[in-house]
Amino acid sequence: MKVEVSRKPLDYAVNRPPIWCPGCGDYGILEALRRALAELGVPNEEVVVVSGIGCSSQLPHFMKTYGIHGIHGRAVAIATGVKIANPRLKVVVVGGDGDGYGIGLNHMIHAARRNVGLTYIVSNNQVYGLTTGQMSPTTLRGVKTRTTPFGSLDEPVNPLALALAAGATYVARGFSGDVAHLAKLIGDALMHRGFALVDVLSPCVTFNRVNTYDWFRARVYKLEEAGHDPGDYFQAYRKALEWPTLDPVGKIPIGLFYRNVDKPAYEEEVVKLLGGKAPIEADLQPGAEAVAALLKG
Amino acid sequence: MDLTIRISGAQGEGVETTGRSLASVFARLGYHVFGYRQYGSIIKGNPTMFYQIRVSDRRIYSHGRWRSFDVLVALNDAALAAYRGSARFVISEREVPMSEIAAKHGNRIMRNTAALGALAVLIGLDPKYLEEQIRREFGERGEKIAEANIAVLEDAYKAASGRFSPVASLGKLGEPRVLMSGAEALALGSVMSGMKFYAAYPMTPASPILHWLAEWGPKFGVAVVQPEDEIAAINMAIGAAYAGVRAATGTSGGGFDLMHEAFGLAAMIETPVVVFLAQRGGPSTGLPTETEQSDFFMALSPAHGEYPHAVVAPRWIEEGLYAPAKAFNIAEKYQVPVIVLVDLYFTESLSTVEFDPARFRIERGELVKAPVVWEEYKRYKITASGVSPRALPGTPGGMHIATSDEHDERGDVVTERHVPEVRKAMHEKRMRKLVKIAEEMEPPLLQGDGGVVAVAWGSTSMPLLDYAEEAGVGLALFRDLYPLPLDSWVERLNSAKEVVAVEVNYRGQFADYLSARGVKVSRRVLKWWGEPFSVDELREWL
Repeated sequence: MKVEVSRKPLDYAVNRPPIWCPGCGDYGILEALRRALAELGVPNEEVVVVSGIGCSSQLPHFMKTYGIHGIHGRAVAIATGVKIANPRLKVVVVGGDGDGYGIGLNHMIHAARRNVGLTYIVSNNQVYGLTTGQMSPTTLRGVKTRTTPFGSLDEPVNPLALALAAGATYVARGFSGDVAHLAKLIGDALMHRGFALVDVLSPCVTFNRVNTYDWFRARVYKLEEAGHDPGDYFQAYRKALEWPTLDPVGKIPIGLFYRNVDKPAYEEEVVKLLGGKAPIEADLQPGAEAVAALLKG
Repeated sequence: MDLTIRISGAQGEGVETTGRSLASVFARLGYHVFGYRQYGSIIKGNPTMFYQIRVSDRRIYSHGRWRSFDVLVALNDAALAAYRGSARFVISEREVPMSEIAAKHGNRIMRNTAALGALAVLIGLDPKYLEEQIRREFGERGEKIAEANIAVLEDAYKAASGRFSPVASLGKLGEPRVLMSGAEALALGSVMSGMKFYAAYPMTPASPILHWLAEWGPKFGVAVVQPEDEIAAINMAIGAAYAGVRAATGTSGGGFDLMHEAFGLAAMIETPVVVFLAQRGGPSTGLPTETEQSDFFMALSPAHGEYPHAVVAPRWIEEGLYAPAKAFNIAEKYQVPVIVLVDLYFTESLSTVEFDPARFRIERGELVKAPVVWEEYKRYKITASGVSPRALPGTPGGMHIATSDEHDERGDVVTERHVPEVRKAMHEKRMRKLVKIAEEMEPPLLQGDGGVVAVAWGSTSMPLLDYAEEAGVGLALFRDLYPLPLDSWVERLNSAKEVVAVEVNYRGQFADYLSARGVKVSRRVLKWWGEPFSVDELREWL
């Protein structure tokens, strides 16, 4: 008989308070992640939270779970190794837009096409915070930052459209200002088979004076209340293009854009190839028979 | 008996396949064999690539001679013109109409097989051994092709019988020997050492490790991933190692350039990972298909900052089987990244080896096996050895964060304030590991007395061992390069009449390294144009 232990969000907290600026969107993400894990009752020791570098990448330090606070842009690659080695672990990746959509963008695309079972939460504040306010890959055109004093010339990336094009099987966008909604998106992502991207509109209260909580509140609307069908890939793609590609100052859809549960996760395929055992479960040294067969071949 | 055969022809026309087949035949007959390939960075073309096979009835370590050899098999006129002056005996279209015989049985491409038929006459090899090899290669599926090749072989054998009288007699010598490339030795050695995860991006000359593992790894529970780039490769390996399996990556210099930052991460978060670094001519794209030993300095300090790690460089191909065990054991016992430093000459050459599965011993170091009390567990506990017991994900209570920032014993980041005492203690803790690692590193293989001593590391040991056999020169051959245990061998070297460093690079990197550690290097014999040293060159230059 399985003993059900009910868990609370604070069971995933450490004594150390987060070091983010008061009002930072990352508090909302932290709370949503803890709530989602508590809701699912995932044992602390079976969670690995992997991050890169940036303000939001500090998040694993505030989780009572295993974690790796790695190097800039490489969290998804590290997490891929963790998940393949031990698929039983819940592997969560967190980081910012600079980390994930700038320096580390290629890893997201490749993890998406492989459909590795990761929950990738991107704290998208449209600015580089920890390095004190430079343009990021999601900064809107014309926005002034320390490196774009005359307004950004760069078209922002559209992470949701990119993820869909790359083959991600779970694509969602949340808002730090709506923790309950975000927790649901993260919880579903944690239970998803394969790669899940949860892009989070997460205001930087210190360096981004344009994309504020109020700015987002005036624009967001929920896909689930707008009759969107997350099983429809092309509809999801059209929704993904709404913002910021087609109308950077218009309405912003949040919620689940796309979900496909039919595609096997990468780690499942690996286990199949390895004869049913994950790398962590395999015998450490090859048996004599296997070695003999090898030398014959 | 010690015979050197060079098969030369255009790249992409089966020179390598022919060379490998012949080497396999010799190994199966019980001979000691070494196979070396020279080729260009091109798929089809390069009319004078060659495969050189040395076969002997006693143990050999290298391809042997460079400027002269016993038999040239020239598959085209360019090859004939390039190498005929160096050969005692020549097999070409002039001696045996190889193309004509091949065409008669269906396709000119089979002239390689005709060459083998002619060679069999010249070296006194019963063609039935070649027939067996052909059947083995083409298998049941290609029976028609096998029969056509055998017909070519027989015709060529007959045609050559009137032309050559045998200069050797290669009968069955003993039990079949295991033949493998250096890359295959490293791959098999890794599997035997318990490696369960390998991620690598293709790059010559490290790719053959990946090829072998992709085919054989899954049968031994090894997950093999070809990621988007080298950065992903090493980071994936670090992730897998953190999750608790032995993990590695492999690349060449240019790919390793991209891995440096993550190499430092592994050292900082004390996660064991092994990197197979197969050198080729640099810098930049350099000589993609030619050998060099010029990444030694890089291997000493690839990432920024100071951190503990180790470098081992297997000296001959058989040692490539067992070096991974050493690398993984050091990596896990000390929770550090380890470089296995090889080169193209090593990974791509073939050699007969003794493979003993009983020689692999796995030491995983301090792992937290039972649940621990989270409030008390310190992942980076300060200890005398510098090593702290490692809890793997899944272990109740062992939750911690592994951070690339400076951190305290719990793993918590400390960089939001200035805490010199934490930095001092944690940095010292990590660096302290080098003392213990040095105790595990083996001194050089020393041979000979106080005369001339040739000093080398890694694959240059191969031709030197063969040269020493003939010339009786002293040797100091290093496998374990960093950290370097300094003991009696330094005095022994310094008491020699002359210490000559032999390296495949321009500066004499290892000679500089030894000099800085008190070894008096009197002379440097260096080569940096894409070839390993050969016995005849050593004879002249030492």
